[in-house]
Amino acid sequence: MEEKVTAENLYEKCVYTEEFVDDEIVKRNSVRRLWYNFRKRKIAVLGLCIVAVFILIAIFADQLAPFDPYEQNLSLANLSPAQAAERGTGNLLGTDENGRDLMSRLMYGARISMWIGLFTAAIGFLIGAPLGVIAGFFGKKLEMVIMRIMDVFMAFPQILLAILLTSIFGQDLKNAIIAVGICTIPNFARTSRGETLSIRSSEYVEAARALGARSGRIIFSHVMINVVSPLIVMTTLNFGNAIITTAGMGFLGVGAQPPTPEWGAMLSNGRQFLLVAPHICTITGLVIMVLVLGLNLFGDGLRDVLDPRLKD
Amino acid sequence: MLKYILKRIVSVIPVLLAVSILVFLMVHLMPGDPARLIAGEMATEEDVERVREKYGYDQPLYVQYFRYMSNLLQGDLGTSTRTQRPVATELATRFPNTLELALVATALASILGIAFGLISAQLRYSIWDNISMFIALIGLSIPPFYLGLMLMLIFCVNLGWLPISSDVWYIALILPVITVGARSMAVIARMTRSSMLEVLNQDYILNARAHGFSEKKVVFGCALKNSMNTIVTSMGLQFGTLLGGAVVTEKIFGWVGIGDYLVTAIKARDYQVVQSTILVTAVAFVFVNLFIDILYAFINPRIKLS
Repeated sequence: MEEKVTAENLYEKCVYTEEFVDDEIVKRNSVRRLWYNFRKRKIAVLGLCIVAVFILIAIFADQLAPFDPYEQNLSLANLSPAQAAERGTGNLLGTDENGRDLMSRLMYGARISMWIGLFTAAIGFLIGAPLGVIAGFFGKKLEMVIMRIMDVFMAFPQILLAILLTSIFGQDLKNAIIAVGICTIPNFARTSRGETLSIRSSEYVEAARALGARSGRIIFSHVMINVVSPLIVMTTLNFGNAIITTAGMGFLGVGAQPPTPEWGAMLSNGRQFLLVAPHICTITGLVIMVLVLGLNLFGDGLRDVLDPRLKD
Repeated sequence: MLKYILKRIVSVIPVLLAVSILVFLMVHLMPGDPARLIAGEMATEEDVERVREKYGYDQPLYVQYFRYMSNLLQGDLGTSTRTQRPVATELATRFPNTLELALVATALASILGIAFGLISAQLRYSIWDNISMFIALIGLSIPPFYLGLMLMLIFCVNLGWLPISSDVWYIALILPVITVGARSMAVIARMTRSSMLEVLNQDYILNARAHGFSEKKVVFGCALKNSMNTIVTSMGLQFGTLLGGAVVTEKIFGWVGIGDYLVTAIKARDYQVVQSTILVTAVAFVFVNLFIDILYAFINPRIKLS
């Protein structure tokens, strides 16, 4: 559909129809245009806001948390928010099975979940993407070897492979994160290989080659830049997935171990008190869901903006 | 067609071999001494040595691998060091349960997912589109362990509509199927929507419409048929994932399936069980993918040309 020219986008339109423009202006405007397109998607902005709130909570957990997340007080165990308000203990969301403040634990849990998302994405991105680009760009035997190895890793359901890897490394949160990260490598490799294949045969790569550019230069200044945007979208959508998987492992007891305030482990403990204190599970799960929902909304919006081919 | 199918089947063999080697190595990398575990904490060093010899743990790794593989090909999946029961018998009782859960969940998720996807593609930007996609988004964002616990809390405890465990198979299936299928439903719905929209934009759809085909015929006869490739792929992927990935759901509902068996075995360091169970699941996963590839060629004959 042809976009209407309005006072607001007139300038951008002009800039983009100019053949020779200052690089700096283009760069500044492409960011502006992205933001302009993104802003139009109200629901994606909502996602961004949710994610931003969680990031702020994660960063400032020390200052925001009203209580020490590890401090136990068995006389206050399993208080629902209503009971806590009645007794005036100051625990806004109630307490858990050991009388620890649920809200403080959730806040520190946000920090852990952000680390989970960041680290798994970083592992997938930094290892998977170069492997995929190399495989797609150089082809032949190298491609076959790399992609067959990825196929073998993809022959396992993700959570099983993550559980198995964690049991090799040792069952704790750090290893669970590494394991989930390793499991995302094949996805990143596959996507970046696919992208590289189509870029490799494009005319501008051919032109660069005709001008005498070497492979290294083509990879860095043409391929990588174009592979990045679908990967950013993938990273965002993967972020939520990694949080769910790692929390699932915490829930099964193969990931984070108590008393770490990791959301999955908290749910797993709260589950034993589901009948007495349903608020522990209800609230903790809801928090995970809202964050993942926010990430998915944000990721969908980002995909529409960055990668219009994937759109609808 | 036959040539393509044979080629695909042959191409699976190296993957299976690599998978078996990988699983074998990974299980051997797990910390702890299996012989010590079998002999027990109190056993003397001599006893442990005897156990090591009996189970062949003193042999080089490749000898152990070949012995394991030759046993495997004869249907011997080893013995659980914890329960002393053969893994094959245990899997034979548990695998059908996991299969049942995965099959029913995939079927239900496909029906609902395709329905939601069709509705939202057909009535694009309407309130129905928004509702369908919102349901899909929730399905994608809700962690299975949370959904399972909440369903249990609401339907078994608060409303008392369903028993927590039941001997009637279809009643026992209801909550686990919803828990495990919600995510698959979401994925299939989103996939259906995007591939339907892509197909509906094609020239041949315009052509069909111009020839006065009824909307029903355009949607079901032309568009859905051509979107089926993508939809079937995501259905198959979901089924494969559910075969091994329903660990959490099985744990919550006490479902006597493979996932539950595996997690217990990992915690108890029951190496034989871990090794064989993961291998069986991975092999099943590979075969499901192979089956989809072949199905794909039937749905879209163009594929075998490339």
